[in-house]
Formats: sequence, structure tokens, C-alpha cells
Amino acid sequence: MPDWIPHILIPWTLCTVLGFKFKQFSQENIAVVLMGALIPDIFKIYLLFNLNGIYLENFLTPIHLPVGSIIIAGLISLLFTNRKSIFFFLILGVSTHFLLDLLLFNGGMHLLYPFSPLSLQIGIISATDFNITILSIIAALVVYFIYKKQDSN
Amino acid sequence: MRFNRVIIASILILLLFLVCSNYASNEEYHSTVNELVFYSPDNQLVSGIITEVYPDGFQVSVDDKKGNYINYRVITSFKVELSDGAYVLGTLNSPNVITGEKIVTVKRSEFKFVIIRSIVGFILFLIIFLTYWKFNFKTFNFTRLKENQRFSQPQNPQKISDFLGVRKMLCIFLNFLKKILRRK
Repeated sequence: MPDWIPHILIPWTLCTVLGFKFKQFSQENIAVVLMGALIPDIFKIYLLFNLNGIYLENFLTPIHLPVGSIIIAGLISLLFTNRKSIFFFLILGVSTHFLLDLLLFNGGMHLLYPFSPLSLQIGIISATDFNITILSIIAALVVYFIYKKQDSN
Repeated sequence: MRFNRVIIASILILLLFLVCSNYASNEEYHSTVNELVFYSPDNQLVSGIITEVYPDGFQVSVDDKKGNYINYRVITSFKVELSDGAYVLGTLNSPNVITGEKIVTVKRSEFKFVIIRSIVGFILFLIIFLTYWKFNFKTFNFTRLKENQRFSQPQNPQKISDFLGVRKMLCIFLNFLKKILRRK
């Protein structure tokens, strides 16, 4: 996805809608889903290393793949008491990240690594697309007002 | 409990290191062709900065992720501007010449705007997350700050089986069995 606004707002919107039906999607757990949605982009710390002349992009790429993100989600879930459900919500967030990144046209992702070298991506939006950001903001605002209305009743 | 966490964390970090090392050492075996839209196996996908513009195309400088840059000549009628970013999918004619089939360009200013939007997104995440969680340095874990009134959690720790409705389905099934047994 182009930036972190849709990566945050789209899972928030979906989970809040699910929260109308399932009480497990409380705002606390949705916050964990949002954390999960940012896990794959931890690999972008390579940019900081690049500034110092250390090139780690290849080495850190698995963090932006399901295999690495699942391991990081496992590590983060150790910082919570209710680890199993936290891990589940983190993985949910990670999944939304990859689903959104699948839409991009920027070189593909080896989603099936280490089982397959296939590079997958649908390639329908550019890496700097702003429309998806606006759409996600509108959707989040609509759901937020419905949520607030339900919350006050 | 804390000791267990350290052991599990060490195993996971080691596993992550192994996965990263394996990926970096087998880089050349990773396909760069997008398999979801069924491009031909001869297709090459490159992305980089446009360094030269010619009447019949442009030159794109591609970072090999090791601090080196490889120049590719792209043959196309697509109009581009110098120092824009470009994603090029095309057929490799000779080692460094590509006939462009699908080209997406990104302006440098757009990249900066993406970074600004991402910072806003991260701040939004921090606001949401820190409204509901805080880090306890004594126990070294996150604790819930407050319970949401409408979507409040049960007092007992939530189980995944509850979420999937397994427990509810088991209850329905057991009640059904009881009814059958009573009839008999």
C-alpha cells in the first residue's frame, strides 16, 4: 500500500464493523490488529542503515514476507499476557497488510517464500497512489460516526 | 515465566536470522516476474531512478540493494521526466536493454508526500494504541488501560476457541445429545 494511513484505517474500519457483531473485536484488540498491520514494514529500517552505507535490504526483506512477519508477530505477542489471542490479532493485521500490498505495482512479493520463488502482485495501483488513502479516510469516518452513534445509544 | 519468554524470544530471533540469511544468500533464485497476472517468463521487472531521457526511451538506474547501481536502457514511447522514479516491466533484449511494456513513473515530490502520510499514519496508530494499552516495565509487558464500554471483553482471558464459536457449538451439540437421550 502507498502509505501507512490506509494500512491503519482499512483494518480499523473492517475490525470495527466486525466489532458490531463480535465482541472480541474490541477497540483494545483492534489496536493490536493495527500493530500487526505495521509489522511487515519494520523491514524499512534498512533505509536508516543505507544512510550509513550499510546495505541490508536483501537481508531484511523476509520481514516483509509472511514468514518473517509471523516470527515478528510471535516475538511481539511475548510482550502481552494473553499471547494466543494477541498473536491471532497480530496475524490478522499482518494479513490485511499483505492483502493491500498485493494491489501494488512495484516488483512483486515472494509471499510463498521459502516454499516457492513465485513473485506475486496484482499491480493495479502505483506506490504513491493517493486515491486509496482518501477512500480509506472516507470509509473510516463513516464507520467512526456509526460506531459513535451506536456507542451513545 | 519471564525465563520462558526469554527462551522463546531467543529461538524466534535465531529463526528470523536464519530465514533472513537464507533469503539474502539465495537472492538470484527469486523470481522477479509477477505470477498473478501471467507475464511471460522472458519479462524483466526493474525499478529505479530515471537518469537520462532519449527520444526513443530513457535510462533507469537500478539499485542492486548492495550499494551499486546498474543502468538499464528502456525503449518506449512513454513520456518521462528526469529524476522521476520508474517501475518498468518489459522484455530484456540484451543484458541492459529493455523494451518497456508496462511503465509506472513516480515523481520525487510524491515520494516525499508518501513519507509525510506515513508519519501521519504512524501518529494515528500511536494515538489509538496508547489509548488502550500501556507498557509495564516491571512485568515487561503491555497491559490494558481501560475497557471499552460497548465492546468490553469478558473478565476471563479471551480464548480463540470462543471467538471461533467452538465452545458455543459444543454447548448446542451437547444440549442436542441430552434431548435425544431424554427421549430414549
